[in-house]
Amino acid sequence: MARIRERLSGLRLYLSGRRELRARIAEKDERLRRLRARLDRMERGGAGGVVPAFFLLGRARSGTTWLRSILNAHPEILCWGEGRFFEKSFLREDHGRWQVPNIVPVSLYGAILRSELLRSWVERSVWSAGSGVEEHLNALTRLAISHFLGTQLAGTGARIAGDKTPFVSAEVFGEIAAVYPEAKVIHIIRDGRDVAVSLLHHMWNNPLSEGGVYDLSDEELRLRDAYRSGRLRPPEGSLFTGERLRRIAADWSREVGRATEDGPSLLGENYAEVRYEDLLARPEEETERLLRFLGVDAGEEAVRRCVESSGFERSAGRRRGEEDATSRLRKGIAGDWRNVFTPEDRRIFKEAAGELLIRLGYERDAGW
Amino acid sequence: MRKRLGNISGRKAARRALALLDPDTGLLSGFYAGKRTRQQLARRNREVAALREELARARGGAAGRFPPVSPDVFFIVGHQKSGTTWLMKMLDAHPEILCRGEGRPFGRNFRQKHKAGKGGYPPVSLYNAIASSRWLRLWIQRSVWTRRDRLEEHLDNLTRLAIEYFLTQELVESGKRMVGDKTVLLTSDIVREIAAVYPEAKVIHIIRDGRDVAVSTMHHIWNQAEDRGGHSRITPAQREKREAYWKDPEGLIRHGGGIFPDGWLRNYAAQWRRRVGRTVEDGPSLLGENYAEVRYEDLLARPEEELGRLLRFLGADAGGEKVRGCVEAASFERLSEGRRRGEEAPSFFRKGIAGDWKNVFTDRNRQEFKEGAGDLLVRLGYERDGNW
Repeated sequence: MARIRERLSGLRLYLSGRRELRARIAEKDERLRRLRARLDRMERGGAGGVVPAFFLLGRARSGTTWLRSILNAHPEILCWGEGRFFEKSFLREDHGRWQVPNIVPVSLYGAILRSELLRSWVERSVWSAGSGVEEHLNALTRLAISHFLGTQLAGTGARIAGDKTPFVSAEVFGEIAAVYPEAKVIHIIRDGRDVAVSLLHHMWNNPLSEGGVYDLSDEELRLRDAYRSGRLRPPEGSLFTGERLRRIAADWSREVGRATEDGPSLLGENYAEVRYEDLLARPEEETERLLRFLGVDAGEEAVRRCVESSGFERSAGRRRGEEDATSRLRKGIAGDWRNVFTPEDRRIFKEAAGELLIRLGYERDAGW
Repeated sequence: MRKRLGNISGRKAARRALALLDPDTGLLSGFYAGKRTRQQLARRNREVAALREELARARGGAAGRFPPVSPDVFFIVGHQKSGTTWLMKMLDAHPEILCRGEGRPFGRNFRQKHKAGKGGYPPVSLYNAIASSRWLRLWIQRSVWTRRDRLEEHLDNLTRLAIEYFLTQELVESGKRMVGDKTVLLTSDIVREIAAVYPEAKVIHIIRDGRDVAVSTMHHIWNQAEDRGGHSRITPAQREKREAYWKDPEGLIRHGGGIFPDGWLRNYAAQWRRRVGRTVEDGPSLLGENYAEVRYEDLLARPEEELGRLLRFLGADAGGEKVRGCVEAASFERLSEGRRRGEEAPSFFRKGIAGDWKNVFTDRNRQEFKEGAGDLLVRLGYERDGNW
C-alpha cells in the first residue's frame, strides 16, 4: 500500500505540473551556488583564516624583480609585484603627473589608515566598540590583503602567494609583523654602492619631467646627457651630484640597517635574507635555500627550473656586464661601482654608509 | 484458506496496480517524462547534502580559529520608528542570536554632514566609507593584485569582508551562533545593496503603518531634540508645535493645525513610501526565500506567533519557552522602564501602540499623507482605498 501511495503521490506531483519541479530545481541550483560560494570563500580563507603569503622586500635596484621572477617560476608559488600592500607612510601626492599608470602611489595599508570616514565608522559603530581603532584597521588590512592574494591564487595550482615591492622605509617589516604575522618575508640586500649606480641610471630613465616618477635637477639631467653622448667618462668625472649620492647612501644605510635589525627581531623565523651578490654567484644554492624557507618543493629539478627561467640573458637578451644604459635590466653584475665611483664619490659614500658596508661584510674596514 | 487466497490475489492485484503505475514501464509511463526532471532534482539533493557535509567538515576544522567562517548573518531592515529596535531586542534576547544596531553597514549614499555623527551612530555607512575612500580607490585602480576595470566589484568585496569581520568578531565574543544588525532604511536602496554585497544574508523587514511612523517620528524629533540634550535637529516651527503640544495636546490637534508643521507630513509620507515601497518590491524579487516581512501591528497583537515564525525563518530554536523569553525580555514595560503600552512619556519608547495616528491626525494631515503615500497604505493593506 505504501508503495502505491508513493507512486500515486509521484503521479500527483507530475500532474501538479512540471513547472513546480523546475522551480524546485532552480531553487536547488541557487542553493548549490551559495554553498559552493561559501566553500570557495572558506578554501580561499586557508588554514589560519588568511591565505599563506610571503613578501619579497628590498630597496629599489637590489634585485627584487629578478628574485621575483625566479620564485614565480616555481609551480607552487605565485609571486607578483608591485602590490604595495604595506608601508603606511608611502604616499605620492604627485601621482597625477605620472604617465606610468601601473605604479601605486599609496600602500593598501596606508589607504585604509588614511580613510577618515572608515576611521569615523569604526570609532562609532556598535560593532567595533570592543577594541581599538588601529586594531580593527589592521584586521581589515589583513583581510583585504588575504582576499586580493587569495583571489589571484585560486585556480593557479600554486599554494603560496607572494608580493614583491621595494621599500622606501623599513617600517614595512614592523607592519607585517603586526598585520600579517604568519607571512614569510624575504629581504634581498645588495651592496649600496651598486644600488647607487643602478638607481642613478634608473632615475635618469624616469625623470618626472619626462613622465617618470623621479624629481631630478637640471644638473643631473645635464650629467645624464653628457654620459650618454660619451662626453662624461667615469671615473674621470662623477655621474652623481654630491647631494644625490649622499642622499642615496644615507637612505640605504638608514633603511637597510634598520631592516636587518627589525627583520630578525620582529619576524623571527619568518624572516630570511639573501644577497644579490650570492644569488649571482651561486643561484642554485641560494634559490634552494629560499624555496625551503617558503616551504615548497626545493628539489634539484624545481630549483633548476626557477633559475633558468629567469636568467639575465633570457630576460634582457644580453649577457651580464653588457650595458644598455636605458634598460631596466641594465648590466646585471656585482661591483660595477668600482668602474664608476670617483675618489670623491667614495668619500661621500663612506661618510654616509661606510659602517653598514662593514657590518654587512661588503668591506672589512674603511680602507677602500 | 479462502482468506489466504484472497490475500494472495490481493497482493497480486496490488503488484499489478504497482506495475501499471510504474513510472518507467507502466501505463502512464508516457506521462512520466518528468522523471528526468525528478532525477535532476534528486541529483541536486545529493549534491546539496555532499556540499553541506564538506562545509561542516571545513567548519569543524576551522573551529576556534579567527575569523570563524561564514557565520549566519541577517539584517533587520525597517523605516525609522517602525519597531526595529524592539524587534532587535527581542531577537538579541535569544540564546543563539546576537542582534545589535544600528551599525550602519549599508547605505552606499549615506553620509551625514554632521561629522561626529548623531546619537552615537556613525555619520557614514561602512559601505560609503569604503567606497568613497580616495586612496583606497586609487590603490585598487593601480595594483597588480586587482582587476583594474572592476573597481566597483572590489569595493563591494571589501565592504562584504569588513561587514563579515565586524559582525563576526563580536559574535565570537558573545558565544552565540548567528548575528544580525538592525539596519534602518537610511536610503531606499538598502535591500538592493544587501542582495548585491551579501546575497546569502537573511533579511527581516519590519513594516509599520506609515501614519503611526510619522506621529512617532514627530515625537522622536521633539524628545531627542538638540535643545533637550538629544541629537535630532529641530526647526523653529517644530519647536513651536512641541511647546504647544506639551501645554495643551488636544487644543493643538483641534484648533492649532495639528502636530506637524506645514508641508512636513507630505514630504515625510513620500519618503516612507519611497523607502518602504522599494523594499517590499526588492525584498522578494532580489532575496527570494531569504526575505521575510513582519508587521509592527501583528507583532503587537500576536507577539509569540510572529516571533516564532521569524525565529524559524532565521533557523533558530523557536520552541515556546525560547519565544516567550524573547518577548518578555523586550516587553514595552521593560523597555520603557515600567510604563504600560499607551501610557505616554517623552522617551524613545514613547507609547508603543498601533493606530495612535487617529488621535492626532487633522483632516489636512490625512490629505497630506494620502498625497504622499496613500497608494502604499492600500498596497500594504492598511486601508482598502483612499476613503479614510
